[in-house]
Amino acid sequence: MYELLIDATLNLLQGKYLLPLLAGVVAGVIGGALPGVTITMTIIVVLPFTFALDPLQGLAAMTGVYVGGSAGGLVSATLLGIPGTPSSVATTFDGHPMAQSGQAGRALWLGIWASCLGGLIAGIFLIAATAPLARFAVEFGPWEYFSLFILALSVVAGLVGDSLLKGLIAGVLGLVVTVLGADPMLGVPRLSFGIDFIEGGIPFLPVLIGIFAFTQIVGDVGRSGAVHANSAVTGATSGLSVSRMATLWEVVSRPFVLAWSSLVGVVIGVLPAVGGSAANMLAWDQARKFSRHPDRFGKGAPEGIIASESANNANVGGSLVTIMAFGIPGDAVTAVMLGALTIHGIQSGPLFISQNTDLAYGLFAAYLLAHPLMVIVLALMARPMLKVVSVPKPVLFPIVLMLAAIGAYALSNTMDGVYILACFGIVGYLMQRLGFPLAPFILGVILGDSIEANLVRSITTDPDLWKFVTRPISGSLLALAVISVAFAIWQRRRRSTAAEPGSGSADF
Amino acid sequence: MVRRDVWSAAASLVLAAVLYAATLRIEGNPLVAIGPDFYPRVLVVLLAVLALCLLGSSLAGPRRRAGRALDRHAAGHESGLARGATSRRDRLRVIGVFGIFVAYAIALPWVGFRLANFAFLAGMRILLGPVEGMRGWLGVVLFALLGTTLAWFVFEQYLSVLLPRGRLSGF
Repeated sequence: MYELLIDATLNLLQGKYLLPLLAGVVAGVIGGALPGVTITMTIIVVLPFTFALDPLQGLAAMTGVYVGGSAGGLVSATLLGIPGTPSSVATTFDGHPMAQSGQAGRALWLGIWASCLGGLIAGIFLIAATAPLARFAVEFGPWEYFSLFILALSVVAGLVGDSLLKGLIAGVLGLVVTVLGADPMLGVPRLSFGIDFIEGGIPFLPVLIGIFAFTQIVGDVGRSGAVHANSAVTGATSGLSVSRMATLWEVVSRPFVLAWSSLVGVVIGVLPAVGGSAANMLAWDQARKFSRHPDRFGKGAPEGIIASESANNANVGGSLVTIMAFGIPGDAVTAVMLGALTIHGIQSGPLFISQNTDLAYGLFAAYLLAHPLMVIVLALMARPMLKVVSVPKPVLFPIVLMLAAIGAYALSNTMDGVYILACFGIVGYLMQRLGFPLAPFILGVILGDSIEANLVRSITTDPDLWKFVTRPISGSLLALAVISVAFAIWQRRRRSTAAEPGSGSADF
Repeated sequence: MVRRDVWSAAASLVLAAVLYAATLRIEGNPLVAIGPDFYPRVLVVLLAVLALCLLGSSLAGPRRRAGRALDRHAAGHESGLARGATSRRDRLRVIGVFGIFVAYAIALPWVGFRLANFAFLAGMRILLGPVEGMRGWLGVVLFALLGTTLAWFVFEQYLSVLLPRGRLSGF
């Protein structure tokens, strides 16, 4: 394993791989720093540029975006008090107060070092755990795969959004999207309703692009004043100069906060579709609970910055484990990476590492190398980036939509992708207005074909439906799915009861 | 909120019914035990059941202030939309964004990327505004021209991603 990793790292140091990785980190840092532009949008924008690259170059670029984006959010979070991405919300709690007290450099560098170290800690987990998990998953039969995907969907439906029912409906709607068009087993046409661009089935990438690009942009457009919100610097840039070694020591001398927050990030990252936004909040909250001085949190506590930033970068490593070991995307960004792999003709899943060893270890190496690159980029760009984050949204949003359209077109060099993108942009917006969470929908679209294929395979092999329950792994996974739904119901009941004592039934 | 959930549930039921009817027209295959209609039918039945549960819970359960507040928070956190904070102008702007994009998607194969994209960038920039004075309008034209030229150059010339040519314009 170590020889493969060393070889992959040396390979990645070549210009043809290092350049896309660096470009990805820069794009990710800028995208992450821009309030209103998520890491998902940034990777959607970068995606069409990767079509002309070879798979490892493309993956290196996207890994760079992922790592850079997770850290980039801390720039605007600390200096402007505005989280650049949802995964840096908790960084604003302590980063901005610290910056406002004249220690902007210290706030920034605590975050940069915490991001780097948290990500590298997750890298250890990524490299050590992925192959064994993948080997374990290779033993899966169609029953186990079916149950695993059902577990993923039920976890997401339960964790995201306020209504479990709506989460489940959103998940089922995502699955319904995958049955439109040709049957994945026999290619029999079905449910296309005479619409040409549906007849071959609906590819998930334009759906993903349409939903995420449009809902974020239209969300801002529809909110009074958000499009023209002035993100002027509030004077929190004094004190940008700081001893970087001193801040590194500050982070390293808090090993428990660093390690625990990184672990939280990794675990959240492994859970499908939960993402960095939950990781940074949970880690910050945990750090405050464990602290001997919880009252200092929210006022510029260094532990708050360390917890949030180490968790959101460790989350990246966790997400990569899930996609590489099981082929299940940990969040929207890895869903786009999954799409990119598919475009290059590479099947992700448990066999990915064994069938594409060079690519898999190249991805590990890209992930590891992206972190020191991220430190260098942020060291050079932190001050100039303040100009970048004030790009007006009326200029930025049309560019993002244009690149999304080009990306959707370039997938198949036909207009089908663009039509799908437009349709699902509208669908995603309507779903959101009606209170339906998008994460289960997206996961349903991604996993739908695999769920059907494994269901049909398992019943064709053995029509006894009890096999799903009696096979130990499959049964355990389905039991976990039931437990996760029950837990979600219990959580909501507890929340409703706590909000209104004496109230009766749960709202789910 | 109750009315919204009722409408959502009703729409889901209608969708399930339409899809179920469509599954009855799927041709089966005598060579396989499970045909292409099996899984879609399972899904639409599941969708109908969940929609009925949503309908039932929204009609029967009391609407609580805490529940509404949590929904607003969850929706706001997830999407950035603040329910109830949209003016008529903002709603028109939202419709405008979708309208311009759909027009762009329709126009692309007919007039080609370079013309359609110029109009798209200009249209979106004007819609999102503000555009004031001659300088503002000149800025719109330059923005659309530069954006389209750069995109065409980078994608077609450098990345070899062939962008649509117009059937009418040939351009």
